[in-house]
Amino acid sequence: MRRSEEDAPSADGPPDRRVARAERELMRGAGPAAVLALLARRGEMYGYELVAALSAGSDGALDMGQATLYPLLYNLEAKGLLKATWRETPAGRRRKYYALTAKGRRRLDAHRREWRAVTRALTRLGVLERVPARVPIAP
Amino acid sequence: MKPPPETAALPRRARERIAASLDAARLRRADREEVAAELAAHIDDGLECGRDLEDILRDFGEARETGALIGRSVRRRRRARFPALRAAKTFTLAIAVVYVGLFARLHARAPERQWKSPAAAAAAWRAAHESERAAFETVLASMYTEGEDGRLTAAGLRAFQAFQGKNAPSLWSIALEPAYFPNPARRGEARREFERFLRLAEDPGPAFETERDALLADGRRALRFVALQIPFERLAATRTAIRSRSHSPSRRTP
Repeated sequence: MRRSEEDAPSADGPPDRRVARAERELMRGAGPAAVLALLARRGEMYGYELVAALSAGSDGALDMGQATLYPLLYNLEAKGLLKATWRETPAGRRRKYYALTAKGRRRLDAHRREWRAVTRALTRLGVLERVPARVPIAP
Repeated sequence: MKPPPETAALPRRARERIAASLDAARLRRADREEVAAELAAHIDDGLECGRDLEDILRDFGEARETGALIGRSVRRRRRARFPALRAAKTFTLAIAVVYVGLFARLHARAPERQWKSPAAAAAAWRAAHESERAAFETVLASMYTEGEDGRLTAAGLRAFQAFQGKNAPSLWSIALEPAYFPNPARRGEARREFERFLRLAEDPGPAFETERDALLADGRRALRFVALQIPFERLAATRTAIRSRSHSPSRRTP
């Protein structure tokens, strides 16, 4: 998901429409589900921590820069799926921590159902190989 | 725009990059400061983890597009944070639009007959008292535009006030008129209502007073048929005079 010069839209329609489309893609992909799932597992995380965890947990498939992460977080916050709190670090710096709301947990359940259905369909179609019923997840 | 103070501790390149993105985001001051602080914390966290500054800044993407994305999402978040404020703004705007429409409607056309002065209007009104109906027609002609479907107008309200002896309405009361007269009766409706009261007035019972008091007590209806307030006074006076004549001893049959 990291933007490269190659896929940066330039002459692809007016800027406002391009941004609106980029935003739609941002909210439609795996990013929101991945962020919600990480927060459900870890409880509370700040922006950089989320970027690092997404990258490490997806072998780089869900690499996100600030350009992608923060609009995504603000959109999720606007939908009431996340709540944010400013806190001070032990070093005295301020950081904003994000946590899941009850609505966010329900949305994550819905995402899980959708992704399971997609995965089953892709497996039946032979796009994905069959995987064992339980895949061990790194803590 | 100047780099936000929240980024003061960052290297110059980072400050400029954040400022460029925030300029493109076009945010309110408070939102701008909050996002600047969060992006600065992000860069600090990256540097603390030993990442190269240029590498972190590369993740910012193109400043204008990043800024636009951040701007849209922050504005959406703000709207979600203050739904009551948004609803109040929409409501106020809707009221203002309706109000301007009503104001324009009231002031758009002139009545059928226009008086040169309130005194002339009052004199004409007194001269027109040959009969109640003729008098009320004068009232209607002074307040309404032509035809059965004629509309009550602002100039008509001035004439009405002149009939009532009020010759200098305040600007404030003129400005509030659309609120008081959002849906006044049309000329034909006012005439029909007047005819009904005329019939009631002929009745020796208290029906006229009862109906009149009910209409005046119902604020919305009283304003809808505001023109009736003038004949009411005359009709009541006539009824009193007729009653006193009919009860006077000289007229009593032995």
